[in-house]
Amino acid sequence: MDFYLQQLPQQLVNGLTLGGVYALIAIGYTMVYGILSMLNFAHGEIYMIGGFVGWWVLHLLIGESGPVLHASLVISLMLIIAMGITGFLGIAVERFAYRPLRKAPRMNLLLSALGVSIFLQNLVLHHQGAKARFFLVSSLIPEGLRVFQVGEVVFSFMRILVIVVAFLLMAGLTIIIKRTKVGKAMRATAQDIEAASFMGIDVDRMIVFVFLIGSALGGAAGTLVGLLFTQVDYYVGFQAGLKGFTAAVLGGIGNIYGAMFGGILLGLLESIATTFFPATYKDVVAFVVLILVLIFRPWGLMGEKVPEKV
Amino acid sequence: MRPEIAGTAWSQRQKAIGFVLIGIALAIVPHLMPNNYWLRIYGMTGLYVMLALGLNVVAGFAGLLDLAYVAFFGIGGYLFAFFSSHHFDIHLPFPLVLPLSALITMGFGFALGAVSLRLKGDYLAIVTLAFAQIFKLLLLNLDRPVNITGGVNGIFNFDPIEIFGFRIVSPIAYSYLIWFLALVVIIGSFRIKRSRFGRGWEAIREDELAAEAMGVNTTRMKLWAFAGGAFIAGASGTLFASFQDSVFPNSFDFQQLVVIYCMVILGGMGNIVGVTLGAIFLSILPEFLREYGAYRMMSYGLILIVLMALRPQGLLGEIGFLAKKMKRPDKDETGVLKASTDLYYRDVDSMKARRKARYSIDRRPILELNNVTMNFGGLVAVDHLSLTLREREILSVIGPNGAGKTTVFNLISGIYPPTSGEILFEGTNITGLKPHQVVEIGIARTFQNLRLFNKMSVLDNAKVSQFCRTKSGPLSILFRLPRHRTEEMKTEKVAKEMLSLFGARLTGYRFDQGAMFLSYANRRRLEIARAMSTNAKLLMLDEPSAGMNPQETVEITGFIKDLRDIYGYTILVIEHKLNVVKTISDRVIALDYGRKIAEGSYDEVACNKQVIEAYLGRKKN
Amino acid sequence: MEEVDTYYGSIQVLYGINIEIGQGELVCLLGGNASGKSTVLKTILGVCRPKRGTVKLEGERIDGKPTKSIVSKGVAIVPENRRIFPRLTVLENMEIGAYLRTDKDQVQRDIDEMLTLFPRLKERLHKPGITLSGGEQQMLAMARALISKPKVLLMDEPSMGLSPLLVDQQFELIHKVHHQGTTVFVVEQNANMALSIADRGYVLQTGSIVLTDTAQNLLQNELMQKAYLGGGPEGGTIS
Repeated sequence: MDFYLQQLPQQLVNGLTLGGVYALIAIGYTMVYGILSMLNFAHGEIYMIGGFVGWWVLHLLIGESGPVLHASLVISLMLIIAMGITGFLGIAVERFAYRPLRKAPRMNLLLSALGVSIFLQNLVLHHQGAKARFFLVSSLIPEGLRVFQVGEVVFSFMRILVIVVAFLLMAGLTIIIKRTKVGKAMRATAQDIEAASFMGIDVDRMIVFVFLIGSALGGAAGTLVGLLFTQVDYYVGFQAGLKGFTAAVLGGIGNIYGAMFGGILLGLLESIATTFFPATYKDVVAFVVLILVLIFRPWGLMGEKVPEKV
Repeated sequence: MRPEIAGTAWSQRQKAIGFVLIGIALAIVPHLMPNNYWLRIYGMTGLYVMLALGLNVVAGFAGLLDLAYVAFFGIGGYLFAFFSSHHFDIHLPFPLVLPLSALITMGFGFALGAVSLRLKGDYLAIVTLAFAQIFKLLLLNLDRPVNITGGVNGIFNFDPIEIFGFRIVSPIAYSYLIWFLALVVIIGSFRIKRSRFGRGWEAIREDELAAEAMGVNTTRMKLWAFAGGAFIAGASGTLFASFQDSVFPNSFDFQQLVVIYCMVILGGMGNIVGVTLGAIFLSILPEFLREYGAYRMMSYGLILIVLMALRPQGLLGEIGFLAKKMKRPDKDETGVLKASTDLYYRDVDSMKARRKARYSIDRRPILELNNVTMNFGGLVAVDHLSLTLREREILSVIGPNGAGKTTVFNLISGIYPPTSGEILFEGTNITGLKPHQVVEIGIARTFQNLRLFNKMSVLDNAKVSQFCRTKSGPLSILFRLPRHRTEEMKTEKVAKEMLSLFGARLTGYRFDQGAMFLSYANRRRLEIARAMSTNAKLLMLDEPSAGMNPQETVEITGFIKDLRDIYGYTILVIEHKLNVVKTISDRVIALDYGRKIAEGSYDEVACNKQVIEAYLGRKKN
Repeated sequence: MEEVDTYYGSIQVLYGINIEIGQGELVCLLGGNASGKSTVLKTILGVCRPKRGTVKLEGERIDGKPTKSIVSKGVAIVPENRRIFPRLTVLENMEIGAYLRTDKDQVQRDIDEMLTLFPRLKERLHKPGITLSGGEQQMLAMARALISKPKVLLMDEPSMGLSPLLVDQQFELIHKVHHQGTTVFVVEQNANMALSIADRGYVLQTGSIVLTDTAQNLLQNELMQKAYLGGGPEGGTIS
């Protein structure tokens, strides 16, 4: 028992890091579901593309003898460019693959999303090859700061960075949706799309914003994970997507705070599970959670039960 | 698509010729292949045809987005590896292994179905996807500590297979075996599609609630859909394993699933010929586009996107490919419609001459509601309602919008149980029964907003209702046993009978017309005919004349009266047109805010001050 | 609205609708279920596009335009069942009502004005809409619609789903609002209530206007009772 307790603080830190990432991905799913009642299957691939863009920027900015610019600038640029590109990619996907199907049966929408996911995944595979790309993170951070220990717990610079950035982004999002006019309009549209149009809100534009923000956050998550685990490949989107979706459902699909909460909770659960199970099975945690939640409590931990009207 | 194009109308002779031709083709084609490479492609194509048709059962017929389907393919493959190799040192003969692994896989199909029963659409897809992921993870990792699955490299070197003394080793032999079984699956698919199973599944796909309300045991049918797909996938997997002489996890991954889905969607979900052709096309196409191999999966993705946006029903559509166009008998050469109303009146008069009014109200109570209350989390839709309906009585329920009328129907037909109170039919307590059980007992209903099975034909819509009156299972259907054939004849007879009560509107060439092509009034009539086809004793009609013009309203009013006078039904009607209510009702009940505010003959209720107030509103203070 | 025909797909729902609403009037449209009442409002708001005929606001054509531009020209609606945004607070609901307005200070002053008009709302200013009682939701929906300072206020079946007491309150409210100068168009099933506060009325039956007169006359019109409760070939259409 002692052994497990000893591990706990470490796992907490690991869990928070993972959780922050999952939360960012989950937000993208939940925002789109909230406004369109659809599962954006392609979101995982957008996360993956975010990772690749981040890698590309890093690659560009690291010369022979080290980074061309200051580390903080490099990382900021990585994030901004990744978020920008994935944001626009999200808008494009909505415009071309989903908007034509606004009035179509749900199954068609899901299949189209599946198609987008396959297309993007294989596009990257074709373009970049199957081998992983490595983030030359070591040149970014001075030797002394990379890893340090406080008591029993090992911290790494990157972990702290990921946690900080993730929380900053989530805070930023919260401010946008709570304080700004556009944010309130987005929430209104998600709650009742027709009534929102009666208020004069341009519903189509709100949908575009949702995809923009959701995808950008997913892209940021991709870059952060790339920095953290130093690699990205074409396949990461699939797994991460499922986990992000699990987090969204866990918290209550459609509920942005739920997505944040669900993400962090899932990260913690997964970390703690690795102390008990062999590492190769850690992905199973997410899948089992997903199955259990959808069968027993599909409205999640923070959602509301919605009865079907006849 | 033009409404005149009806379902297939091949004669027996044409069918026989078709089969002979196909048989000859299958015998010759393997010998036409230039080399072993192409023979293997030919064999794989046959396997894909089977796989696609299996997916067609669960996703095409029943409309369930099962993303775990490829896992069943894998289970079948690995089972062959377990039963016929040195891996566990079990060496069962192939004629035993094939059905055995198909059945075991079917068991897994039932299990998956049971777990996912309550999930709809998107959620079902995700949960099945999660299961598929778990399956793949298990395949990859169950080689330690005990080597069950062989890990990432899988299992290989299986026993050669033998059927009735014939050794199946060469690619040609495999081709014959595979395509023979593919043909079996094709024929089986056609048979099951035209049976109560096929109709039940299609009804579920169109509108699950309406299917349940017409007597289809949706729970059981969904389980069977998963199981059926799994059975075929399992058999295909076993064949595949033997064909490849190896199984490894990558053969059963998500990419493979997408390919199979593309085949089914491209051909048209539910369309057997389409799916077969789609499978053949997408198996062979990559061979001709070898140089573009890298783009293969990308194009599958694009195919899905484009198909869904532009032609979601697939290239061949969902309704009857190879259909022979039928001429509409009531349109002359210039296309002008001869008034179908005339046709109707002609028939009605002749029918009326044959039957006389035989029935009138009985004393026996047939339906009783005792203090029924329905509370939707704070909103009381039905408030301590009690009513008695006597046999062969026509009782109308009136009341302003939101008074709870449709809720009462929903309670009686079992869509949700009442918060309190009980419902008795012929003395038996039916409170809380599921809708299909209520239908079995003898109560059928129509829906206020019409819930027809739009893509099914008029005749099939009516045939679905006989689901609870028939019992044939998959075996009877697949082997065309006498029980199945008798039941099919009975079903057709009942359905046609009910439809013919509406004259030529719903009969003749209309039988095969898709329900969505009917005029509004005919759709309302079909909705009633469909309810009648359940052999019900009590009909609950929810606004049967809504949206009909005055002439049609008069017709339907007379028809409802006939339903009781001539055919002996007991009828509960929700109506807004009070002149209709006046003509047909023996008794009238008025509801407001879920409570009964008046009961009696039409004249009594219509003059009741409370009722008038409920409609016109209270005068302001 | 002039000679408006509206279809749902291939089914005609409205036949030659002619409705005129003058500045400052309170006009009501009465009809039972399936009469097409909601379709009239949907046509005005641009949710449905009329196949024939025109809809004009202050002389300018608005048929065929998207909902958001129609709303921006000064049409506000209190939808059927109120439909306030459940998880937005009372204040946020009202702010959304003022979405199209750009004069922030004036909006703030108007909100304060609304709050004095509806003191109950002030008490629950920061509570989410879904926690409000039926009556409070009524008020909020009204405030939300009024805050856009509309030229015409549309009300879709305001009595729907409300207990008799609340129905009284609701119509009191509409009367008050009208009295302050707003032009109101009420679509209702509850004829007596609506006519008691209206200037004029139209009666809609299976998609056609069968009767129109001043509210006073309609209240006393026997034919109206018949048209409402009867209708159809036997009950006698108004001709």
